[in-house]
Amino acid sequence: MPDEPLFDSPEDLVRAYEAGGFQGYRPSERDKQEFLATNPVRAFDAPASGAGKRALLWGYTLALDPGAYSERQTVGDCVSHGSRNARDLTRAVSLLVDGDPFSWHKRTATEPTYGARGHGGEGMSPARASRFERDVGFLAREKFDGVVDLTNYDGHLGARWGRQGGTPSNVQDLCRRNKVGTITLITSVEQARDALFNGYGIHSGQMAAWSSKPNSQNIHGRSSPGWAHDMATVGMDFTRTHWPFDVFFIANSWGRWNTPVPKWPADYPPQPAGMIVTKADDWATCVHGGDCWVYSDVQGYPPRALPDLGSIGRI
Amino acid sequence: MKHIFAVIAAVAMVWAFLPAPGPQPAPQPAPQPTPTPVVVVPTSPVTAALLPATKQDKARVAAFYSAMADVVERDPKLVKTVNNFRELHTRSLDAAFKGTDLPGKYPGLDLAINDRLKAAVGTDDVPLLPAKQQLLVQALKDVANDAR
Repeated sequence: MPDEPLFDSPEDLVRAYEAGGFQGYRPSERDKQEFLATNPVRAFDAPASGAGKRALLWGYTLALDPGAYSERQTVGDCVSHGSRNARDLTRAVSLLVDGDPFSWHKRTATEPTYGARGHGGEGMSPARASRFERDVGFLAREKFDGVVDLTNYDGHLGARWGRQGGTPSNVQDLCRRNKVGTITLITSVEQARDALFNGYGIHSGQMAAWSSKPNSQNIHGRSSPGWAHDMATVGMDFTRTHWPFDVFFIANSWGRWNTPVPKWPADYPPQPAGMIVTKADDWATCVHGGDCWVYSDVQGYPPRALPDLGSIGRI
Repeated sequence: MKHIFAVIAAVAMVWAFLPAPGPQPAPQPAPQPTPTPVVVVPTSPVTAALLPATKQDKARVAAFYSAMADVVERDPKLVKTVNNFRELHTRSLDAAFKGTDLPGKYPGLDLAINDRLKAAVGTDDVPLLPAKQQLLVQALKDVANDAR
């Protein structure tokens, strides 16, 4: 008999995280120290500054996966959704920079990461997700004959694997074909800005909440009580062209849980359902909480000019 | 996708029917060198990259970008976004120059052209609204003029 979903709707999720004190994000200093002690890259060095610039990176993911950011979590696996959205964003930018969009293949899965959370309850530490994806890897949303079918999101699969002692070894063997190249903990808003400017995705776990209704400044303001939640940060605009302050764009995994900001710039990619538009000052909690991670698909963080307009190497 | 091929065909047609470089003038006796004051004329990166180019190569580049400007200006409905333009530009360049001696012949030309176009429309895949489309057309014309 299939498991009942823990969360049936966006409203369920808001209720659980907000009023119920549900913990999808479980901070773990021990997991973090274990990850950092074994990480070949100690600190994030920005290859180019994004000061005064913008990077609307979710548009790159949508170009290759029009349904991206639409998966709504049904269990407490927000960390695996946040990390998946960060690594898929980094992959999309890489492929478009290299002019190789046909290598995209498919969106990647959340279940193997969540299965590796190290306990049978709900929630996960981002450091543990990072370690699994760095050392073991990840899989595409597809069917692996005789092993597992990940074609459609099934939150209970990852939840069950966690209860049964972890992601099965035959699934881990498949994951080893795809690893995240480099994952680094960042500690400042400027590092986050620069990571995005160079095309690298971010996810973070924090105790912070945002209003579901945009305010008069055309952003989603912070609210309380905070959510113990993990989300991907998928863009930033520090040009102050459309807002008189710096903003970040957060992809949530709750489906259509909020009201989109009404004044959406005409020269932007579409606003995905559930996106949070936040002031950089408000977003700072994501990095100051101590669990903010940048994903690179290769070793290190080489500078990357975002996709050229066709002439490079052709004339 | 069919539209993109139609537009590429249109670029190729316009490019093909642009006047070829005229006949070479008869050789003239070399003028006697006379001392002239040094004048520094600012040049665009495209012009600078094409300084060592032959007249024929300059004309090929100018004709191509002039044709691109015409197509983007006259039929903006098919080039609705920056990605549409990127695809058109990429495929048209391949159709016009792939397999010829031009790609890479003048180092820095590709970057100079990219920088000029990027300055006009950026690289994010956003809609080419009328104002942005005009900026792109002007940038393409600038590249064509700077190549001459």
